[in-house]
Amino acid sequence: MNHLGTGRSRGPNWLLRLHALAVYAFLYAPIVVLVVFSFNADHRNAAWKGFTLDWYFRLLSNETVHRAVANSLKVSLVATLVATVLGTMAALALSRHRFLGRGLVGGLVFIPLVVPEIVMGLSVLTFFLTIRQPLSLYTVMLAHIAFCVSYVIITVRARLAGMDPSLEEAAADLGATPWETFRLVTLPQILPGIISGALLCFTLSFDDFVITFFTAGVGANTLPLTIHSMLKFGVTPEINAVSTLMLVCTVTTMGIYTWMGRKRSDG
Amino acid sequence: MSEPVLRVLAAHPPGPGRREFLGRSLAALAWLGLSGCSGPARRSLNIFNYSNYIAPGTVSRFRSQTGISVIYDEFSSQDVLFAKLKLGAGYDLVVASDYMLRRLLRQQLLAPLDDFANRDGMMERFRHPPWDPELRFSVPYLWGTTGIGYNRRRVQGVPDSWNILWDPTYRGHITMLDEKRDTLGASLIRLGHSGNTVDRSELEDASRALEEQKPLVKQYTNDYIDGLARNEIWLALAWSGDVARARASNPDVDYFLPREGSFVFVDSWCVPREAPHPQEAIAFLNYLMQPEPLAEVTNATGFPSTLAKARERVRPDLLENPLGYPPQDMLDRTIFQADLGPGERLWDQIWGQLKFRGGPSGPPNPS
Amino acid sequence: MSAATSAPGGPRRIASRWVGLLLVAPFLLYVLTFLVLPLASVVVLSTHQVNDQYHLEPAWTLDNYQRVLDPENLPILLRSARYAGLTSFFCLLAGYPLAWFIARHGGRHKALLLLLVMLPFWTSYLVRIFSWMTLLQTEGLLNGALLGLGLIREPLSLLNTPFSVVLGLTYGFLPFATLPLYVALERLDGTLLEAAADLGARPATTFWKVVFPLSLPGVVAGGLLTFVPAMGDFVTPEILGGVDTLMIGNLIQQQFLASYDWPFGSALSLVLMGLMLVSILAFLKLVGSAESLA
Repeated sequence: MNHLGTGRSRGPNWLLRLHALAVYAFLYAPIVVLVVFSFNADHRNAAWKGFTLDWYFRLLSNETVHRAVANSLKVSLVATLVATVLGTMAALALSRHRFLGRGLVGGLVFIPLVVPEIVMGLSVLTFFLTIRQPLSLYTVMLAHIAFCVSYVIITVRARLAGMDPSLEEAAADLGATPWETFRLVTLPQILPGIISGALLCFTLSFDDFVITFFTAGVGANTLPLTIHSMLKFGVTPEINAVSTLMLVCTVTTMGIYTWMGRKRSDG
Repeated sequence: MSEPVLRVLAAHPPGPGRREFLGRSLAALAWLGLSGCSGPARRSLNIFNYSNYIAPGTVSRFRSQTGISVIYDEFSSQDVLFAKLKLGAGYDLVVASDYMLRRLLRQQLLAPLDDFANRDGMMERFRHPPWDPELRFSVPYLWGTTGIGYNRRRVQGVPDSWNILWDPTYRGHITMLDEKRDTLGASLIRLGHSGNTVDRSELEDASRALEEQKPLVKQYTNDYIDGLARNEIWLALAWSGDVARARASNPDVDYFLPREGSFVFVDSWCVPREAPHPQEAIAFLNYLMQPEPLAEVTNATGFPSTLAKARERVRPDLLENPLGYPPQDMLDRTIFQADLGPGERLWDQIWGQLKFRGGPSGPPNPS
Repeated sequence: MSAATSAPGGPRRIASRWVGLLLVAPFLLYVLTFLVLPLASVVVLSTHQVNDQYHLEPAWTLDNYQRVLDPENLPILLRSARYAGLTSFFCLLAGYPLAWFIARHGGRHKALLLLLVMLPFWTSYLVRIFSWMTLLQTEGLLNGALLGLGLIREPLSLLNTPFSVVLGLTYGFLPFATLPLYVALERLDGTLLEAAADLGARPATTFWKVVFPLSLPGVVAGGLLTFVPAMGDFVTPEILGGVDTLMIGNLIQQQFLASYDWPFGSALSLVLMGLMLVSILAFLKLVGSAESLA
């Protein structure tokens, strides 16, 4: 009902459309370039030299890239899982309970949002150095959880804030145990918040370069680190191929999901 | 302060992504469970090398010959290597450049390589390097020179001096190395000073000259290969093997060693003191430091190896160009980058000032 | 049952307190260990000194902070703030109309349009930056197109300039501005706009008097979420920048990875953080008072 905005009757004016189009073009220009050059016969991403699927075949046998993708997945999955659980719990505590130091905890949540990534990466690095903890893939996970968890808390809290507390009270009054109340009333309501928090975590962790750079140990090269180490000699089109494949996967699953959703709502 | 931030994050990414995420997580979790548990302890080796500083098949062939599993990581600069070694990242075998080697030795971060005997056949120049005269801690691997990579179609005449890097004709197409020893060193040599001086006033001279050169310079960077190959960079203070690589995809790229003199460097394998698998590291060196695998590395990287015999199997185009094996008279004009001792801090300071001192700061202006 | 019927402040309240602490404890422990303690170790490190052998020595000195305040570092700080400010500005400039378009005219494609803003973020930032190099280089696609259209005669040098750095940063952080703007504009009550129009306000007046003040929280959030990460970025200026476009992040990185002056790097990091916090708080306060006036 709040679509009665001024422009609606006349439709968006052409300037607004043009602007949106331009911004999307800006966002997708490099994506198009990277997809196109994944089929380029030349190994420098500079000029078009003809069509090939070579890079995709080479990818099959490129162990460095395989390991990097595997490491990236491991890190971001573990980080997402742990951060989502810790973050949801903390969000519940912050929104639904009063306890000593609540204000302080609420402030801690915002550290990762205001501290520049490089400072965070360096501080974790000096910390590991101080406690003489050798770097590995696990140190990367530990660091990622630390910065991811805040995003979950903030997302879930926002969801909790928009939720009517009387529902929970009613459930309690009707004799539900706190756990039942949570499972049957609270959880279903905040699930979208949890999921989008987790998704945000995954995205941030999967593409993180700076913090990973400072905390990765032996055998812990993730995809962004591997790509960065190629900077010197120029990134090979195999990286374009990997990126294209991942893009295709994402778009396909999204398409299927949308299609399924539509089918369900039709039926 | 939480209000606005809350609002931001109240923006739930719209629906479709979620299912995809769940599906992905489940599949990957299953896979994680499988790969998480590794089998019984096998012999393994952790190598840390520059990216693209080995032949494509070297590691896998070593693996199939010896059954030792290898974790092979790459870095883009020596700084990363040093930071990771200081932190005890768990590497068994690393490639260190000469000046870094010196620092690692001074800090006693390296283990002696007494078990590696195959030092015969090494080129004379690298048999007794000043930092490790008996080669007790290091095995020289690939070497090269610091010179100028340039584009023959864009640069007039045949340049032979450092001065070309100060030629305003090429404004915006010059890159210098993001390494204090090479960039400050080149400036020092151009001014007639030693490239290894620790004299403050000489260093300040060199820094001032670089300051004057700054408006002509596109970037201080070690990542110039692509730029040279794409005609984006016309003149680069560069390492020989890198230029060979750029030349492989762009024949207009060439290389010269300035007549005023320059640096020769050698990168060596060494074993960190706390390496978990020193035996396997030696096994790898025994495998690699043979004419055939080394020639393969040279052909793949463009950098000549220290083993004299490997030369016979090297690509001819690398042999006949100063890029690969410079002629003796040219080599005689090059020096190693010497240990600066406590003077290194002075270099750091002057280099930091040069690199970060704000030039004329105006609004963004693509010119 | 008994808990439910008891008076407020009774056992249920106390239990709630314990449940709250229990729920928050894992997070608290984790963040104290892996976020607060590391930041504290940076504080300690900033009082150390490096000797000629590149060894760290505890010195309990404030010298490093004095070095941070050296006027020589001022230009780079100002430059970083300028680039980050420009980045925020361009992100808002591009993001506001886009968010408006999606929120008000997106119809049933809203979710899709918003997703399209996020989608590029599932591709590595570094890869996208390299693509920009391909687009921007002298013999690149953009110059080719401009030359082909006859708009320019000579190819422009676009790479390694302040232009390319700000462009890269804007590209990298655009969604961080678009999303909060979208949220703010989505919630806007359409009847307000109608009322303004009915009262004879011109569209521009409606926008500045009604829409913009109401979307201010989104603007502030978008501005901060682009300014903070842009201010600390070092990858973008390293790859797309030139000799005179390095930012404070590069200076910090130099201390940690090239000069091995970790204490100075720590002091720099802490000063940067402090500056950032103070400016954020001041900014929010300013906006807060402006909002309450409106």
